[in-house]
Amino acid sequence: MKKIHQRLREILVHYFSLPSDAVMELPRITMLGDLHVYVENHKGIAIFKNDLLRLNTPNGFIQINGSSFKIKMMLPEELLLEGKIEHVTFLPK
Amino acid sequence: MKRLQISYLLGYVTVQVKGIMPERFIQTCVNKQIAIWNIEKTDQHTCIASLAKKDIQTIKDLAHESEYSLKIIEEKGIPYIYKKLLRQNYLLVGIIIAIVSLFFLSNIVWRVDITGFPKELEQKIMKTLKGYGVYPGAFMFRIDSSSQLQQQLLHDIPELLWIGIEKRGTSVQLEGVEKIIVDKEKEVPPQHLVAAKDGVVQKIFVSKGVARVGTYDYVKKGDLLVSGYLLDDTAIDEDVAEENKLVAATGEVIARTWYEVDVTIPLKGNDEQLTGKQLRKFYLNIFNIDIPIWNFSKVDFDLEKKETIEHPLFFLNWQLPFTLVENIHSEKEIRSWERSKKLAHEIGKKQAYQELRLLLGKNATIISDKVLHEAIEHDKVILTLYITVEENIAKPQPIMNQTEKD
Repeated sequence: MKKIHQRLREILVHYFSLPSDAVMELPRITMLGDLHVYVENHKGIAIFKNDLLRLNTPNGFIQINGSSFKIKMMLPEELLLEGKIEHVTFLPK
Repeated sequence: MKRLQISYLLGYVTVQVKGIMPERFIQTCVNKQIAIWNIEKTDQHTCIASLAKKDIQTIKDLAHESEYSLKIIEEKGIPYIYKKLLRQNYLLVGIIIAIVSLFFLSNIVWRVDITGFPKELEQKIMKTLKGYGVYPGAFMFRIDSSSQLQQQLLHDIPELLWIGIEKRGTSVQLEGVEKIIVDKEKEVPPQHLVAAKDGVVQKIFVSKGVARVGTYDYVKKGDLLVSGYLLDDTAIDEDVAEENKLVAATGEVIARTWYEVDVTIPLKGNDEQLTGKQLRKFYLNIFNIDIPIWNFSKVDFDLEKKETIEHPLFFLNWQLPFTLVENIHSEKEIRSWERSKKLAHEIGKKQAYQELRLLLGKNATIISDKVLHEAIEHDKVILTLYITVEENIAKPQPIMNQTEKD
């Protein structure tokens, strides 16, 4: 059932050229060099440490590694991380 | 960073959250629509985060329900600065009080100086000024403007010829000239008295000269009434006239004169009248923007007369860039009236009398009147009155060397 749903969304994006982040509920990640990571459409923090941030998303986790992390701003679906960023990894469920 | 500035204005706190996985607690807070920023993890079980002052209670309640402990470690922003100032910084509060009191004192009249008058007149002026509200200790902005005061003073004290009023800083300075009433015995050149108007002579009082008319004589304008020649002027010639027989005739000749006066009196009309209900509002005018500071009640008069008075404010000797504006709203109503023909008639007569008195001055007395014509046109009564008056008709006429004698 979920697969069909996902398929449908993909078709919508493909044929109607709708913005994919909105339709497919995917996180949008904007990075400013290795200083900032701006994540929209996440589903909450899973783990937050000085050197690690793991965020929930519908399809798994986003894991950001680095050092001296600080969350500059946090809203229900948006987050701005500041620090020295080394990796951004997608972890499937 | 705009967000931070606003939060600085409204005040924000930094809290320390302690417990297992403190980020979970922050997540629940975020889910409750609380804005949180600057989240930092200091060690495994503690987290530091900032949030707005207004959200403190909510987050405290949340912490109470869960197993996390909450501690406020820093308070920042205007509300906290303000609180701190009130609590500790007596100096600053003192300075503010000093500025405010200095401002008030700058707007108080401290001295009323009067120059150019004798002592007793000075006292009188002082007293009159006190009546207007100008005295040491009065508020500057409650005083009328200088020109208004000037006019009032000139009106109320007849001894004043001229007075200048200047508001200088905290003192009011008056300077003026006293009216010196001097009876000038002017050397009057020889003159006759002639009739200024047609009339029937009633009384003659001659202090100098020879009366040439008798009572109940009808005289025409320009007729000789009192002659300046003491001798019979038909007999004398130039030589005799030189021998001091020529005087300046003075005296009064009261005669009956007649006037025709037309007056128009409306039978219907509208009047505007103030009901006496008044509302005073005060504004602070800064760069032409009126900020209400006193009396916020709404003006609910159907019709109103608005009067605006502007009072400049001073700080020490400087005029401040803002002024105190006083608006006086007075309720007015329009009354329409109608009057009977009889009443209109009476009013018309009074009006005619008044007009005549204005024309003739105080010394004329009205003897009788008669209605010559009366008509009603377009709701107006038109009256033509014939009025008999007793007045002095003597008018001096200088005697020239070659004056032709009547």
